[in-house]
Amino acid sequence: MLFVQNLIKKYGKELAVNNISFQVNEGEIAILLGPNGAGKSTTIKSIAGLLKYEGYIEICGHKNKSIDAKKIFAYVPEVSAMFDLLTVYEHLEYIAAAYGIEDYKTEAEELLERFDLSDKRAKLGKELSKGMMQKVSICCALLIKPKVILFDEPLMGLDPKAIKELKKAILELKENGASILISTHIIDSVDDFWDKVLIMKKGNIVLSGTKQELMSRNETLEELFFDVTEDK
Amino acid sequence: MKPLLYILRKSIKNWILQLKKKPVMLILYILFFIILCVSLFFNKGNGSEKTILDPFLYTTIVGVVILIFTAPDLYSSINNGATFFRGADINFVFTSPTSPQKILIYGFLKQIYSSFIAIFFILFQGYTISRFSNIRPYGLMIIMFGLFIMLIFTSILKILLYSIASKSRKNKVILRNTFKFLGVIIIISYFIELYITKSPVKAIMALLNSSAIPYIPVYGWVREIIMASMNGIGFIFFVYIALIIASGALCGYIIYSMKLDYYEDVLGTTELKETAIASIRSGERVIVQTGKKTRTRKVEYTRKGKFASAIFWRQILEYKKTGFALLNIASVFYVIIAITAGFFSPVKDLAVILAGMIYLQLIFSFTSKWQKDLSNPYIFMLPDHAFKKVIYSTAVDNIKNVIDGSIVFIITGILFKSSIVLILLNIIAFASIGSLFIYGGILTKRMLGGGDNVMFTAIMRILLLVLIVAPALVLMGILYNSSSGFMGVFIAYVSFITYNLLFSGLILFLGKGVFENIEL
Repeated sequence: MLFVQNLIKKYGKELAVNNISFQVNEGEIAILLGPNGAGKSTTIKSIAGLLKYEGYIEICGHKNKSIDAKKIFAYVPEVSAMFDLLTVYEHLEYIAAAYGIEDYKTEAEELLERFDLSDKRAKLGKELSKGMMQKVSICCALLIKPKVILFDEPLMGLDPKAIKELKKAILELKENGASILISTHIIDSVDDFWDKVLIMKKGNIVLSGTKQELMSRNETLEELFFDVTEDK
Repeated sequence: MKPLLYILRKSIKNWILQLKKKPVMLILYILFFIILCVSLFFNKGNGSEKTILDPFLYTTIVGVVILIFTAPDLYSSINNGATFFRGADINFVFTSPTSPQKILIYGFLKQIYSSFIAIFFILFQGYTISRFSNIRPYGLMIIMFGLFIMLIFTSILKILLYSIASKSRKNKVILRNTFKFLGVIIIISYFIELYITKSPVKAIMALLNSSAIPYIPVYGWVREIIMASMNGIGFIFFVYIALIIASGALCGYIIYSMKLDYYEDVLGTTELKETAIASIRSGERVIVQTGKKTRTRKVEYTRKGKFASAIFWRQILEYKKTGFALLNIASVFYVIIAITAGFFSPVKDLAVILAGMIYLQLIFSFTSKWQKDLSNPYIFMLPDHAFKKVIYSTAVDNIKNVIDGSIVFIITGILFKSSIVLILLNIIAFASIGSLFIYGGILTKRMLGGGDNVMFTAIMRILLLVLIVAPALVLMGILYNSSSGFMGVFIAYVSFITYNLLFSGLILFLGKGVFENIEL
């Protein structure tokens, strides 16, 4: 489970995230929506422990920056970065070593196959296109078999097959009880599989609720989004 | 042209304004300015300490500097294009309804600013230059002026060469062959001088002191302008300036009247430049390979470690791919340095070699492996203690220092006929100050972060590193110079090593959080 309480993030005097709280339960897919500059990526990066912030963040009962938390959560950044001199497969081997995963080979092969990277396994990090980097980054995150996973604009740059596979993988993670938080501003891309939505605007969560709670409003996700984010 | 000047004006204004938000950077700029003033005004040697600089040697140094600063740059401009622009220029300037010529001028104005910044750092050589009694009091200003107009002219020439080369494949080949032809002439001349003088160093000096050089357009004239810092300003000095300005204006006119269509070529070049800037900013590397496929050896990833140690074994794997174990192209470079120093160094003292190596280490401290790890989020998310992460991510750099030190000091030690103990002391001293550079680098990275201005951040980091290692160097210098026998030398080295190790440890604790937050 992911638990965020009173998260505040300032860049200098600028308030990027303004005291937000939410939680993502086990087996739940939460979508973090918002216009550009709403604070989605900052929130995700704070949860991933990459930024300094005020507030409290817990991952399955552990503080997010603790080693125990890091062992069970994964993060797919918006802009993937690879090690120049490591091949695609070596990235997976390295992640397995860095997270102390012993039996990873079968899983690694399956992931490569699934994301059409089998024939690219010997390509160096610096030779990969942006889309391929994104795929490798996703494979690395999935290899950990995380209990909490954070995606920052995960579908950007992916080809249709990879998008289909990623969506399938996300649903599998959900079935296995993982808490999933996806940040995006492309509503259509997540319309069919969300359980909870968190809509951000200017650093605040302006609407949150589960699918059941929001269904009573008889509005599509897109309509809900514009209702709360557009200035009237 | 007005909107383009607006970009320049606003960029400079905002750069100044942002300093208000970054007080650390502001303090460092002030510190930088103070150091500059100290090196310029308060550090001048008194008359009795002054020495004479051999004019023959000075002419050679000036010639070498001009060659190094221009020849590779001009040649690469034919192949890779002039790189005045950034990604934002392509997005917002190239697509705007502005003529290509005006955009070139805009790029050129940006280049003047960069050239000015580059020349500014020569002021740090003020102290060295003031030590020579035969350099005029205004010598430093002359040197700066000479190099400044040289860099500006080179920028214009680069655009011209690039514009000509991008017109057709044939032009490119002709220009490239012209450069090769000039290169061959220099090499042949060198061998003729070598045959006459029978000394490699004297041959270079004779070549660069040739009476034909002042007749070489622009670059020969630049040398004459710079030499006025020793010979004084005369009428011919102003003639050379006028000639260079006229040449620049002529090149500019040719460019302006050409039907330019360089956008497509600039796109690729700018992309490379953006990659290079991103790499430097993240501390990855200073030199970015351009478009060439990386050559790597096939190596089995057998030992992988666990948690933080996985970083160490991954770095070892990367080294194995580009070399043999921890021996790579840098090792070959060190072998060449060691052999050259061993045979040609006028002073057969390992401490002098150590001083030179420390200087090199300072320059290369930006290419260390740990810095590359900061460029992606894996290291921050790796589930292990911050301290272990720092230790494992710097272990390879420390081992590499021991290896490089061993290469240099064993070779020079044997050629100097030094004792084994002294060779060992130098290796340990080199490795220990190497670790001070590594952990000092981590601390400066924590303090300064990535920085928006690549060059200034790099200079600030160097200055901070110098401040960290300065006490060790002063300690070593005082103890070494006051020692009379072997015991004194031994004490000097041991004190130096002890300082380095103690402070490395201390700084390691202060900087260990560097791999905890991506936000530095």
